[in-house]
Amino acid sequence: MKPNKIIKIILPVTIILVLFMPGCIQNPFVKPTTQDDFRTGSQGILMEFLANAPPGETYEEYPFQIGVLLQNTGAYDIKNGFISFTIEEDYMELMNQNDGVARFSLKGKSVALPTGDQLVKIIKAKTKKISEQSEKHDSTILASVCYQYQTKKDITVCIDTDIHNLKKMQKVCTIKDITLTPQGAPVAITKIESDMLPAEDDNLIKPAFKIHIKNVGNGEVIDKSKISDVCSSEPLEHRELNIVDIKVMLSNEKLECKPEPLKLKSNEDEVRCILEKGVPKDRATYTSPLTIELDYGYTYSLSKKVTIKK
Amino acid sequence: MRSIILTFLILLLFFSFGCTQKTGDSTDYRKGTQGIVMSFMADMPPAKMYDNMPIDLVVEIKNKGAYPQPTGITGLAIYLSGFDDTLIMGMPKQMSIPNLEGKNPYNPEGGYDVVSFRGNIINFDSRNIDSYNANFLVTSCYNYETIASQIVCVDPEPYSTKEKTKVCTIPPSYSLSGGQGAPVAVTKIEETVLSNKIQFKIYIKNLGDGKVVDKSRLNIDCPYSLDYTNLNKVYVSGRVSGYSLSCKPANPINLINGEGSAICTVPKPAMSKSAYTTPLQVKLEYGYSSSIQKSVEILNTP
Repeated sequence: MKPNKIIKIILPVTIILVLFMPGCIQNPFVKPTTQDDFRTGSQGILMEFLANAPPGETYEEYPFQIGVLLQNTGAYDIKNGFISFTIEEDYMELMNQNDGVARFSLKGKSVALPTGDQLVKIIKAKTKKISEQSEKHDSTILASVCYQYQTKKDITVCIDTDIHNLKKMQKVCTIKDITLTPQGAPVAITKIESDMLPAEDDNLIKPAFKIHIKNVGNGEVIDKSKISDVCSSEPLEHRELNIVDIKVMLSNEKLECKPEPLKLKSNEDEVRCILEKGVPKDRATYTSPLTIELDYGYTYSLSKKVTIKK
Repeated sequence: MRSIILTFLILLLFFSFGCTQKTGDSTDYRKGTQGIVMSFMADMPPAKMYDNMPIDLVVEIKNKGAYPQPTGITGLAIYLSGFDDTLIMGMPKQMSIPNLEGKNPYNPEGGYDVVSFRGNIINFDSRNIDSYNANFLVTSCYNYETIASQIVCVDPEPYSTKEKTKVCTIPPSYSLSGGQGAPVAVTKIEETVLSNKIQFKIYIKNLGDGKVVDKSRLNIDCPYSLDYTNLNKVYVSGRVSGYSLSCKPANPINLINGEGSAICTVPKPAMSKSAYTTPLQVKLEYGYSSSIQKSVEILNTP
């Protein structure tokens, strides 16, 4: 083919391509990323032992490392979390006794940090002599994290001011139950049931919501003010377990929730929240944001067996 | 030579379409089933927006019906609802629209206006909100009238056995299809000649996509307090042969499932008069309300 002929073919093709290409570029407004996009998953902190730290097998009176990788896979920033290591003191000892409990902070997933922050904590330990009669001894190392976390969900709900459909005005929305997937935290809001209750004042209705909450993580919910006790082996009372503080706002009005705080039974429960102030019935049906915040402490432990040989 | 002829023929074929005579009567403006028609202007507002910025909602309003003539419609009001006004602040909730004339020979398209509702979306961080689905419901409330004209046959002796040449005979019914340039229409008229009066049964139907409101309650109840007491009420009146119609039931007529009827009578002309044709004019007066809705997803600025 002659060069002139090639140019004659390529030039129109290029012009057509340039004309049609902009249509293929995604409009950034079609799927903008917001913080809500990161509120997915059912974990807060993910923890795993580093490979060979501790090793599966080691020898008596021998130094070794214990290392864990912590990753905040949720959407809430952890400040003042605790990590503690528990060893069998008859068979192992920490090289630095202060390493038993350490504080940490880890940022959660966000637009600026889409994967969430992570950190590696490594401490040094040493095996002790095992009994004369034993050839080997299996010992367990336990790592625990304790942290404060928050589950947050805001969802647009329908405020129906005409529950019995007496007014013949078109409604922009209807009341319905909303089922939710976990919100990037170990405690999840699983369902919201909406209801418009009659008020003492006949000109008002009271929006009410039954919020279903469940521990969907693999750890335990604890009182958020007791997280340091759990990771420092302080005794924990039964009443300090499964405690969740709840704050629910309908637009800019705080709802009254009962029970508050909530104590989860069998890892799940429900709370009823109501806007006691009410909404005037003469207002048209409208949508409004319901913002739910759950604050709690959470603890999660991981163990690894180490065989100490002579 | 052949190609020149072919090109000429093709050109002729293309241009010949322009010579086709326009069918239909452009002055027949009392047709159709629409009154005030609203629509959101494209991307005003867009389907997705961010917080902490102004929001404009622009609504086009057209009077696609034939009322009023010749002055503009009075009492047309537009109401905005459906959203949380603590998040979108400063948006007017009501606007009055002056002078929106109906279709007429000088303005066959009808009156046109544009209204703009402007508000400000607050900063969502101040409320700890990630996103909010705002719904905007725009509702119109207005007075409207339907004028239906039908040539009817007035025959004082329809059952007479005398041999007479008559210019018309009374049909079983007069059918009025396609509406009369208003959302409420007269769909059928049945004529019966009684001993001393002529009776017209007038069938009425709401053919629009909105609600018929009692015109006397329009400014009081529309749109937030509409119920069975103030909906589906139509006032019927009319004239034939110089007589005003006397209708039952008394005004207003109640529409059931969007339909209703009235039985109207006029005195019967003297027996000596032979059959003749004359226009029957029926006037329906009512209030009307219709709505349009748009959802906007508002996101917290990342």
